[in-house]
Amino acid sequence: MYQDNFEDEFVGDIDVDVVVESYTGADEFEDGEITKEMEDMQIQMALMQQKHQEQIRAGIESIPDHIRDFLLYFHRTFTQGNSSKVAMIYEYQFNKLSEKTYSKTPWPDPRYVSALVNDTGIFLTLYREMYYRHIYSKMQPTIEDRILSFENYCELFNYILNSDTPVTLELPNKWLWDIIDEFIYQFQTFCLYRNNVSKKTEREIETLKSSTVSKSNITKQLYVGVHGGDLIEAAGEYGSCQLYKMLGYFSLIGLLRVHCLLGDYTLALQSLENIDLGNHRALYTRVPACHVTLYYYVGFSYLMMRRYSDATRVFGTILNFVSRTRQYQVKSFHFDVINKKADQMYALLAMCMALSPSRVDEQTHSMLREKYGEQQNRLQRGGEEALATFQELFMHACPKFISPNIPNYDAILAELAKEYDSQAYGDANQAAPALSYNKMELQNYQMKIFLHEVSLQIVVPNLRSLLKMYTSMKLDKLASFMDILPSELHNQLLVFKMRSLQLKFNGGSSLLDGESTVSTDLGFAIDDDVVHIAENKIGRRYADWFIRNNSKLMELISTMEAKV
Amino acid sequence: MGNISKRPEKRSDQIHELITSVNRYNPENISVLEDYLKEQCNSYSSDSSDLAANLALLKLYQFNPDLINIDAVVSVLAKALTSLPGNDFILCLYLLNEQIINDESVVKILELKDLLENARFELFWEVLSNDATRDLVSGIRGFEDTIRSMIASVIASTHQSAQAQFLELALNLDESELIEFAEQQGWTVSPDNKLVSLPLRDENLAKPVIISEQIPFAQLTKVIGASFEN
Repeated sequence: MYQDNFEDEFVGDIDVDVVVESYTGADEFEDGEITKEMEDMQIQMALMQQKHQEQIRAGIESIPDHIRDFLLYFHRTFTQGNSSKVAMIYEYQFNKLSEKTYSKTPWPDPRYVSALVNDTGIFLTLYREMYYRHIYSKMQPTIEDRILSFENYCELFNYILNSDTPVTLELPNKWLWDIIDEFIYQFQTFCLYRNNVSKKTEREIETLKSSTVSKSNITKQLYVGVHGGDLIEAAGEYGSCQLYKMLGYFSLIGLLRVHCLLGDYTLALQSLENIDLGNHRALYTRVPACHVTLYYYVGFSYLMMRRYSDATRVFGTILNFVSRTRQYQVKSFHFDVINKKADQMYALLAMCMALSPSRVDEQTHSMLREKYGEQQNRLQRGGEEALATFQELFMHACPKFISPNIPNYDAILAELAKEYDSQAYGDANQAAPALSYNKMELQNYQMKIFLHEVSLQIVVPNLRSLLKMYTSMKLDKLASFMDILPSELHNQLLVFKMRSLQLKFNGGSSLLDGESTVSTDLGFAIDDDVVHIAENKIGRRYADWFIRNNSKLMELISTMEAKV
Repeated sequence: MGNISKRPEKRSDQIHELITSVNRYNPENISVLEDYLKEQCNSYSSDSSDLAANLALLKLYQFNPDLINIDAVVSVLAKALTSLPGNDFILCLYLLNEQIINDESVVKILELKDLLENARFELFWEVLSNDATRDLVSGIRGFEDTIRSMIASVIASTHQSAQAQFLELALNLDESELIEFAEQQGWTVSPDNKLVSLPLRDENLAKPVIISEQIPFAQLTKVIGASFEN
């Protein structure tokens, strides 16, 4: 735009003859020819439009009556800005109808819905959001679905973040959470899909290749989007608006998740700097699925960072919360998600407890025994079997890691072509292994590092149970009990000591804070050739007893008073 | 074990700004962070490493695999060795990939790490005396001394007293050097130079601790409140 103005000022300098010369080409066509062509085009356009309209009309008619009513009602409520009703529709009615009418098919095409409610604005973007989310959850999305859905999210975020004044849009918290949650989920599955080339046809790879041009910086976009949301939260004018506040807040938790999926546990915890985990009235508690997700990723990060006692504490807190609020969750459509995450967290907790024995509350403990008792026993026994169990639990409970990079499609296409060639010669299986390389690599890499850490302390459980039996003992005698050389035992003791040094969170603004602490229930020291051992004891628990008897007494008093 | 969330004193404003803003995803900053890494390697002191900055560098490599500088990766890892038994090293590892950790020089560093974590100190020094391995860490000033004090601190949290012979092997020192080292650390060597006593501290005291329940008064307000209602 600036350029145009600039050139206008210098118009006087242009050689007019040269410019006019370039116009002459137009004279070569006769007037009539052009008019006719234009008319033809108009007729064709009209025809197309008519056809299009017929198609839309047919589309609208194909929507069942009760769904049509629902959509019209939804649209009206939405435009009126009645947020509590919108929340009801979103949480209950939409899901009920999905189950009843669209359990295996997609919701009506957004184009028809747009014509039905006569709206192309934000309502439609949000409808598309729900439409694709439904496809993701109930069906296999095609590559076109994936790309369109992702573009829709970008459109939505653009609408919200790139406007000059705050958007006056109010959405239920659960919906906002679902938007962020699904956005990352789709991003994650897209990454997996992208890398899982082995199952794809050539055509799909070509499509992916062309789509990645626009996708290549999605990761960056996500960061910027999230940071944008974050900054806006602090910016005052925007911050006072509920939508921005919650969106920014949920984005922080989304960021935690993305960093975690990329294997950057440090940044993951760093992104939560402004969220107070200990506060029971914090914003994240408003959406249970968000609450659980937050704790899952924080706990997982601690586990991977070798801060086992912190991980135990985090998992213990949330699992206790989940089991105590179970009765309130059953009705919510997040129930399944929460249950699945909780189950994974029990598995992670079993690992934490094996790596660094510590206590959790009774209820969580008995649930853990019930779910993973057998695995826990195997973990305690140590050795190869324990390692295999660690692997099994880890695979069950870890998130699906993603790679930020795009596979080299050209190389893969070349491989595929080769494969077809070789198929022509009759040896079909030769090229296959080269293609499947990428599928599990990421999962395996993170697991490999983790299991290697675990394997370093595989001697510990055995050593611990033996040490517990004595208060002081000669090194060589102890070694003969274990059937190893004294130098070997000395070595194991040093390893034990090193492994029990952990960073432990002890208050502070960042979740990364911590003090180096010896976290074990067993203290020991080597004095020349003697080992001194001291086991930590757990004192009696008074509080529970006190509270229970207190209520008993109150009951007793009230019965006595009733009798009098 | 340092606290990664704290800003090291030596970190300049430029670096701090870089790694705490969206700028950390800009591949053009790789060279800045690589220079900063060299600076860390050249300065000899125990708090010279800046994990947060080095992780940011590895992150940039993660996003831009074609820009990976394997020498820098090796330096980051070698620097992280000196912080064992802390978790710096694995935090770095998680950001690498299969291909990088199969690199010849990275494999060597991993070997050193395992020897240290398995408390095979004697073997560690033996492997380190190997020319090829020594070259890898030669860029880091004071590498041996930092590792030595790290090993010393592990032993000091396990032992109340130890054979001088064991210490000499674990720390790679001869008799007179050990006496000098012990003096620096505040250890006492017995008159016949056979036994070294280490000062008692929390970690090497085998003292049973009774863990008792701590109930903050605030938690009981409901119970107490209820008794007033009746």
